[in-house]
Amino acid sequence: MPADPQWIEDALLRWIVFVPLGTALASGLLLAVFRRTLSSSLVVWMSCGSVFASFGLSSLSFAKLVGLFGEVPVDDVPPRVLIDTLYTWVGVGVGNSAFSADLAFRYDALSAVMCLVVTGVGFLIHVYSVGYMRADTRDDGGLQRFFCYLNLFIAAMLVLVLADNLLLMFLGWEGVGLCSYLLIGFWYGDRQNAYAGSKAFIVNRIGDFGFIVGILLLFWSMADAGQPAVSFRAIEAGFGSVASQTLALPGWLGGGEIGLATSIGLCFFLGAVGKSAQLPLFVWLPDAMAGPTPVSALIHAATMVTAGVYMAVRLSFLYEAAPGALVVIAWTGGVTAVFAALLATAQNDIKKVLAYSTISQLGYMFLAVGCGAYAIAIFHLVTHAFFKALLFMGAGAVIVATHHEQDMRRMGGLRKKLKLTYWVMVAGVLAICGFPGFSGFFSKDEILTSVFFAHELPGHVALYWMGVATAGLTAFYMFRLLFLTFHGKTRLPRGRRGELDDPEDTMMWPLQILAVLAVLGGIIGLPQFWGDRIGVAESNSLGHFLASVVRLGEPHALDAGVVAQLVGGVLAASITGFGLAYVLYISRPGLREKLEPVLGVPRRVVARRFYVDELYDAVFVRPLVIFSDRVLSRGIDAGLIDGRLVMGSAHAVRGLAAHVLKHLQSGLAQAYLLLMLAGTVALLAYLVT
Amino acid sequence: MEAEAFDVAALAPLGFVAIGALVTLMLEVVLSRRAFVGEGVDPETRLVARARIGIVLAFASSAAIVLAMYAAIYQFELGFETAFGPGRPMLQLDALSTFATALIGLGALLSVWLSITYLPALRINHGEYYALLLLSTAGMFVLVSAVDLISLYLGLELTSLPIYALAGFNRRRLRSNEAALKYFLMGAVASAVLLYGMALLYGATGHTDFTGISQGFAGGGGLALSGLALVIAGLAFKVSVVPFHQWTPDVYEGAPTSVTAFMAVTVKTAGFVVLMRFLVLALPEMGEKVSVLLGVLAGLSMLIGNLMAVVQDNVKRMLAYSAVAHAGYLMVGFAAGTPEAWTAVLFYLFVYLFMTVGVFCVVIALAQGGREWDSIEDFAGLASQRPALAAVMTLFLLSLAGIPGTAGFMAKFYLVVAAVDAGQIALVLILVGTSMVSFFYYLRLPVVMYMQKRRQDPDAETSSSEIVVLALCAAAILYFAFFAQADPFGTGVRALDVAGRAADFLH
Repeated sequence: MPADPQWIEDALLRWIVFVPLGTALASGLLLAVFRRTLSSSLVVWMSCGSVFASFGLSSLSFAKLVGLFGEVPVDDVPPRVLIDTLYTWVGVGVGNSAFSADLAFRYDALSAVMCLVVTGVGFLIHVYSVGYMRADTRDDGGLQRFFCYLNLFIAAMLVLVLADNLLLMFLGWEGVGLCSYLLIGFWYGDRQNAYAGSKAFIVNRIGDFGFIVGILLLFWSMADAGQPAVSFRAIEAGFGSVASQTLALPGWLGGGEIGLATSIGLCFFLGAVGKSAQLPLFVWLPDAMAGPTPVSALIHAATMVTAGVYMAVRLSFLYEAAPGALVVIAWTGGVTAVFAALLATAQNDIKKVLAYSTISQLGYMFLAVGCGAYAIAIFHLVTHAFFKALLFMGAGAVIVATHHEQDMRRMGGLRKKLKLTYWVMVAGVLAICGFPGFSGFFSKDEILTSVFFAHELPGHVALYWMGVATAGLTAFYMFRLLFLTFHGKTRLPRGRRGELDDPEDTMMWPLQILAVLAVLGGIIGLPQFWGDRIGVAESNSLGHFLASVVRLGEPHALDAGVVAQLVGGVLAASITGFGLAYVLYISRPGLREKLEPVLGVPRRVVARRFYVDELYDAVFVRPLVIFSDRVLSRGIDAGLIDGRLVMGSAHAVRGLAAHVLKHLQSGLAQAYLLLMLAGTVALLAYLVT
Repeated sequence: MEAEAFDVAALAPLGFVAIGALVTLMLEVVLSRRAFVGEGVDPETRLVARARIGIVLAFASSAAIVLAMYAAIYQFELGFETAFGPGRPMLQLDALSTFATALIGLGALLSVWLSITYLPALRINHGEYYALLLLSTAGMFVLVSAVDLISLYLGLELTSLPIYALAGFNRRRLRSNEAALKYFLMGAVASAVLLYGMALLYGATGHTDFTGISQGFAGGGGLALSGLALVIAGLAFKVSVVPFHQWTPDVYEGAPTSVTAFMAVTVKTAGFVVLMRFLVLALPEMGEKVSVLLGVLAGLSMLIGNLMAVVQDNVKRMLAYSAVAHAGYLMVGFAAGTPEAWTAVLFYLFVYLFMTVGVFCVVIALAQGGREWDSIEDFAGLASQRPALAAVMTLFLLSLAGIPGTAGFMAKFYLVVAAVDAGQIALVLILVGTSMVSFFYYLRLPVVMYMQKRRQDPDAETSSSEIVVLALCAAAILYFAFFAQADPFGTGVRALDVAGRAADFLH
């Protein structure tokens, strides 16, 4: 981690954000304010074009940034950050409370990777959406609305990853949350969808609360130390002075002290838990599948949900000073990974399987962050974006082809009809399961290696085995998905079996590009061990690239024996999972019925997601509703607030207004004059005495 | 502060509007003579002719105001600083007065534009309207540069008298008559109180000019303090601070809406600026006591204004109480009394102009057929019929409520920061608390506009002059939400810096 990276101003960055933002605003304003609908081809071209332009600009900046890396450093720290400061949005106060927030974007290695993923994968999903939304007949006037939200999302996500300070990042953070809400409930005619959108929004609120508290805690503790700052540059430079401070815990938490860095880190992590759907706030993501499938692919798999990982990596300098927070992150990630993978095995809705799988893979990323392997977390983020977007869009292709059938129990045998879809799905499944050579293999293997060597992490052996178990479960549920959907005999209702075919080309060619990326994407971060085998020095280009932003761990002492052990363990688990799926769903499906009574209870428990939703419902929602209804609503609200305070206060206000103040406001000029004079007398009396 | 005897250039803004007033008056006479003298003029032609005359007059007044604003801005740019008055300065031309002059000019200009189609719609298209409006504007120009009690009083009366007439301009409507009469009665009493206070101050200090008063005031004394109390009471009436606010709802509701918009922004600006100058110049070290007093007035205005606005069914009446509440917010800055607070107050007045003119412009755009559409039910379902109008209305209301992303938020933000830095925590808490109350009545209109079915069907169209005003106000509110302190187009002008420069004179 360079001590104090200098930066270069580059006014191009703003356009990466502004182009999609402008498009979204233009079409949104036209629709909402002027009630003009544009022709669908114009909407499509504008929308896809703006994201592609954004991708092009990101690539330009990327080239510029890489160019900086090639330069011979003049002094110790060559500038490896592009900054675009638009202006100081607000700057007030003096001294310790001085507060100044710039509207500034930052393009360093980390932003670059995120930016390229968001705009690149985002563009492919935009193109895919053109076909998907055309095939969708539920909403006829909504194409413009859909692409407006989608572009707004891309803009907000870019603000999030390009922000140079915490406030702007928070703006993007909330922006993507808003778009997520809007798009989950896109078909708001169905009450369930609207409900799912609200659920996502409300659960995220808990996380956002942590985020805000984190920002304030960080700002004030640094202001107390005489270095008020919100920009990442300033925070990183000045954080050392407060890193060692401690906070006294209140008595009901057992007293004692907690490191300031740890508490700030935990607050921010709470935000990440909400946004990235980790335990215990994961419940919104499966329900978020109510949105259109491209939305699930873009927002709820490839980009937005990884914002938590991005934030943790962006603040890695903070977490470096907070080992306690890292332990919490690692364990949350590890437990979520295995837990969500377990849940995925019992889902019948094809999108729900993928949703749980996303939660599980995000758990992997946090596991990596917890081990201090930030670059590897980002590596997995990238490969996951490729293969998960691919899987979701493949699932979407199936859904479109079968006329909105999502239940895998009513699919089967689609392999022969949807040939291309089948093969891209196979590529995605192999990538996520870590088939040697595919992208997921390298990133997952790297994560498990870092866990294996994370000796300073309490319980790292347990975490390692949880990771291995997750790999096995992943293979099981992914192949289960593949077999149920594409193999065996078709279980589609008779009427729908006829003209099944791969969807149109605009949907298929993004899938093919992503399939290539999912297979080959691993080369961007090829671990050095494998690089040595094929004779490439410095093969881990992503890691070296990110080294300008995050601390890279010491290279592990790997010899062939250790690698064989590590890879062997994962592969064994994966093959077991695959084998189990093969036996249960291909070779001896009858076995399932026999196992049914034995596995009945655990299966039902898993199928009902360990009753987490019910638990929350019983522990939080129901009591809250009852409390809200009985006590707050009927008792306090209807009784006290409505009755006494609102009716009371409205009555009091109204009454006050109507009876007392209105008496004053009687409309009679003489009464007005009286009050005026009374006021004057009061003024006189006060000032003179 | 030794001034030249007569620096006429310094009085340019005042001259332009005063001459403009006379010109419009004469023009009206000449034009209507040409239009109406002669046999067999049927009512239809008469109406059309009247509308044409109205447009000509509006253009003439606009020209006068634009010239005045141009002069004021030019003087501001130059850093003009001179006093007007032989030996003893009566008017002080400086950054504050030129800033306020430009601001009032802008308010007057927008009000003129609002009137062009509104007056014919209400069938009150009489020529003296524009002359009265310009005369009142001239009075405010005097007011904001007054540094002497005499010129202050002169300015105040010149401001008020035309407005009394304007408030009752809708002669056939009882409410309008009532508004004018009430405003006049109250105003007369307030003037009397003010005048009495001035007399006491003069008696106590032997001076009528602010700086002289401040020297004579040093000892304090009951007489001087009584005078101060009465002057504050008299000025508090003009800016409708509780308990001197009661005329506000009646007058705002009864007066023609274009007049309401005019007085809501310009009189408030002028009143606050003169109060600011008086307090700072006449009481350089404002005692704890005065600060507490202003704080109490602020708190009362915020509470009463916001609470009373909740129960109103008429939009103009609701906006009147909201104006009381905003006067309370501004008084928080007065109670703080730091340079940052004065800057925040001036910036707030600047932003307030756009939100208020915008909101009243929407009410005006609804008026037609000789009647106003200003009850809350009249807005039901507006979004389905005139979506753009409903959208900008929502924007203005959000800005008045102080939602982030609008200039109203920034204005409130700077005010709150200044007040917190000055240690006025209690007032800030009231401000935040009552702002929450205000969401209720501000957001009620969007709810009604977007979520209810259209009941009535006035098929009025937004006229081009109204579109210009609405677009300008909406653009300003969005622009200053993001660029209050920035200069994205390289004009060298930053809004907050301008306000800061205007307030700079005061310390």
